[in-house]
Amino acid sequence: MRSLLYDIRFGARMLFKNPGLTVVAVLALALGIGANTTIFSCINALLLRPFAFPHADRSVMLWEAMPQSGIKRGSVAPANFYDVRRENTVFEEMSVSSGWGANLTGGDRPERITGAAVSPQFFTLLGVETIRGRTFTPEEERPGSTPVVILSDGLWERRFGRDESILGKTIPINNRQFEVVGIMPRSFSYPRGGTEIWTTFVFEDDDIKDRDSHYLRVIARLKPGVTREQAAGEMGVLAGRFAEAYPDSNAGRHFIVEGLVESETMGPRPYLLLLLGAVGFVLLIACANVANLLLLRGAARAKEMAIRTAMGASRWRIVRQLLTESVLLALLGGAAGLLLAVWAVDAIAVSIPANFARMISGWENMYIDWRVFAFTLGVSLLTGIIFGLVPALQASKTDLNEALKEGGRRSGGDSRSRLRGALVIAEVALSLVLLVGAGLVVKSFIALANADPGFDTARLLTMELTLPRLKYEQPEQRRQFFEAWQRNAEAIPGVANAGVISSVPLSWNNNSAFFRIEGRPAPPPGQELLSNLRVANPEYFRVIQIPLKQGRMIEARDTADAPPVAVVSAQMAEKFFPGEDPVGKRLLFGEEGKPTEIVGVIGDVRQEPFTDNMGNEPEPTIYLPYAQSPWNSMTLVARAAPGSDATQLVAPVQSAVQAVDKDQPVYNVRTMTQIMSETMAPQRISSVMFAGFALIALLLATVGIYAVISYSVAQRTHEIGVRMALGAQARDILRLVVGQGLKLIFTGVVLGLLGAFGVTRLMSSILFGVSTTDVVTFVGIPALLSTIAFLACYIPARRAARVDPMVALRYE
Amino acid sequence: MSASSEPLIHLDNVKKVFFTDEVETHALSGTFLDIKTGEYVSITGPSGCGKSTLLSILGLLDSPTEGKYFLNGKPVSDLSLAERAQIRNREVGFIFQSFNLIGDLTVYENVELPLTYRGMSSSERKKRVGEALEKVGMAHRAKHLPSQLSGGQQQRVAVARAVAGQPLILLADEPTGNLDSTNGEAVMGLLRDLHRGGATICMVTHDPRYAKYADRAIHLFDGRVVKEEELEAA
Repeated sequence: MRSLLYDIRFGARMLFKNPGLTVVAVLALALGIGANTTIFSCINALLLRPFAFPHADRSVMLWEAMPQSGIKRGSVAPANFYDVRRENTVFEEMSVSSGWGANLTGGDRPERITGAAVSPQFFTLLGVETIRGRTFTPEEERPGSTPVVILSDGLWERRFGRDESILGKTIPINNRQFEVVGIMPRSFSYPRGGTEIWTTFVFEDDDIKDRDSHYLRVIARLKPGVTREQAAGEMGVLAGRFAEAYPDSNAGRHFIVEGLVESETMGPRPYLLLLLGAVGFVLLIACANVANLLLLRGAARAKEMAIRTAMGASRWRIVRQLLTESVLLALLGGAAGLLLAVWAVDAIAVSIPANFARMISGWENMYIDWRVFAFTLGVSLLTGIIFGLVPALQASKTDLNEALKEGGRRSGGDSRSRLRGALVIAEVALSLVLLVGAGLVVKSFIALANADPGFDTARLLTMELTLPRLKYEQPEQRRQFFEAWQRNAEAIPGVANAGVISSVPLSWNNNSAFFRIEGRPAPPPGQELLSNLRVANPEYFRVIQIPLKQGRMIEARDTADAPPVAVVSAQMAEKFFPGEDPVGKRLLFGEEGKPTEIVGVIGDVRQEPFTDNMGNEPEPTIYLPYAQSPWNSMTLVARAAPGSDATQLVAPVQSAVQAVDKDQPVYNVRTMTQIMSETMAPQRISSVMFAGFALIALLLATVGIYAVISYSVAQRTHEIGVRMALGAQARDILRLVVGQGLKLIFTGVVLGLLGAFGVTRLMSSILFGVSTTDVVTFVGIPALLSTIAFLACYIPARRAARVDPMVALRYE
Repeated sequence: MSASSEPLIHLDNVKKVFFTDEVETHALSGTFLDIKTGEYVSITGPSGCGKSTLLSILGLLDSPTEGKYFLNGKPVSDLSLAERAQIRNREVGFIFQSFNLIGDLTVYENVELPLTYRGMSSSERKKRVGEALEKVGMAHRAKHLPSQLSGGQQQRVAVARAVAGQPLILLADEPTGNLDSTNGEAVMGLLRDLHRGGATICMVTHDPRYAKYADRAIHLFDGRVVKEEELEAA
């Protein structure tokens, strides 16, 4: 113990004695460890503990899939849920949830609250409890029971001023009175980030038999000892049984069992894992850099090691002393890296708008906690050993006789210089892989930002609203509401035009429907035709400016009493009517739906966010006239007149809603620019971070090359003097030194290119509009790296070329 | 071999002053020297008398502060760095006290090195290197590294490197300084043989035994030539 304290004290003294080396090494390590700490903070928040409930690890999600109709992972029909709940032997508890738009009235202003309808077992399944009141009872999911809600802590504070007496009182939501029975803790917002209110799912008898409407998110908790694979196996058996029993609805359907956390974090996971790989590379480069510095310092301390050995120190003792020094260095680097990470994590946390951030599970956990601190400490210790071990072993191998005889002047053997060269090659190779990866991600982001969404995105304002079913029970009421809003909105100064659609392009909302084509045989069960479905009024198409390809648009004449019509997207026409004219063809929805005639074909728009449809063709879409399908939930879209700003229309467009119904709230008020920004947030953040890490890697590699070549020049001063005495010109010396560096660089570039070809293949799922073997990136990045590395060699080479040939004599 | 009457090297009142921390050190204080083609001259004198400075000026490693230096009839005191390097490469052969072989290059590559700076063809280089190594008796060690040779062998390789380019003059700086007496004698014998073969040699030495190998001995003191004497060949 005493000797360890001695090593620590001596190590600290050595770090102070070489402030230059210490500062450079600490900076390199701070960048490497800081980058890792930053990404681990994100992973910790978003992947490891996105939910603050205790049973998350044993909870799974159950999805339906129907691959032959293009459904890879979809919601569950109520009847299927009930059957699974009754017949399974692997789940301890099962629950459902679904989004619930709660229009909260009764205060100064109506407010749209993000809510969820859940089974009473929802909270017990997850293991969470209320901070006031209680969770739901089984009786409260029965038809006819008193409507009840549980509030989030945030809503309780914001809307009710933390009034303790709110429990037991009723509040008006969607034109009904709901009794408040509990308050959830602040940390709980499941099943969707930003959820502030929960009510019970009340299934009527008809609902329980419904196998055609797929809208339930099913959560289950595995019985103790049951694995996810066992559960998946049993779900396979049940799916087969259901397909036999109900072939019309269940043929071709199967169940997918996913871990809850894994399922809910699927979005950010590939980006974070990619960034984790990137920062791993940065840390390795930093380690190679510091190892090189320590090798150089080890060479300078050869005599000290020889003296220690002569005094009886064992090799292990010397290795231990040097490792203590490197671990001290790593801890300093780790401390500095932690400070950098605090700043970087704060910057990431505010990099997306708060209202979007709260939709992302775990985003609120984006800070440095004890896990991150422990990670940083662990990485620092490991790093200290990784970069310190080889230099320590090298230094401890000093030739006692030689070192003492040479008075510590000589730098060490060939093995040390080969090792330094190998480290530089590794740095260049790793940097190249990282730079190529960053190049592809940045290029992908640029392609994404410039991609044609299929409509004019300029000056568009959107806001969503849901008309309460009780108040707007009749279709005619809903039609009148939107017609009145349309008139009001178009009268607003600065509004060029306005319209409504069920879900605006690039939003996270989607509806789809199975259909048949009149005159064609019905597809076999399990292979039904599926398309996105939108409902819009005629004005919407003028607002959004989707080009007409064929036939006509939806028009005012397509009233409720007129024959049902639809327009379809070009992709729909191509997929389902290849080589045919779709105009005049008729679609059939449901068992007894009236035939709907296709009257026009319009251009494709990217309805799904780019992130969910990366690199794929736009999905087929059917548009129905609002007058013939008057839905409750719609999005209002208004385009500002040229020269006007869409954000200035927020208040007047909202007023146009309240002028029709003062109790009708709107929500998700966003300009199209904001929607696109939110849509591309994962790419934007990851490309900025990736590029940042790649630049750090480039900086470290450049410093590494410069240090090694500079040191080599210093060591070879005498040799260079001899060469000059023998008649070498300055250009010969430049060629010699630069050539030495270029050999290392080109070896690194070749290895890096091989690595990049392998690694970038793993990135295909997150790239848009750029190939994983993009020629420009694979040629441009090595050229850039080689140029910068060449300059790193050229500067010491210039110094070498100025060596006075007299040193050939002075060395005597 | 007798020397020709035209001086190969002519120094006219050459002075060299070093400035260190505002202190002037006069390493050479007006040196006059002629060395004729085919001559073997030794330069002797006590430590600090300016021997090495004189040799570095003769070898164009350094330039005089004042005075004129003519090599083969051409003024070389005010040449550019590149021109001086070219002359060092083509017209001067150096033999250093500590051999100054490059450790990473083989014997063959060390001897070949000055020829590569000359842009000579590979076949010509091969011929010249072979001849030079034969001349010093080291052809059989061509593929060895310097670290695999004895001190005497290393100095023979250094001599081969100096003569491979067929320079006008060989400049030797204490060529036996790092050798034992047996190897020292052997190297001196080698230089004598080269001289007998027609080489012009200027050798700095502080050892009177080896100075006697030369035709003429020049004694330096305080940066001046204080004595010149013709010698009987050893």
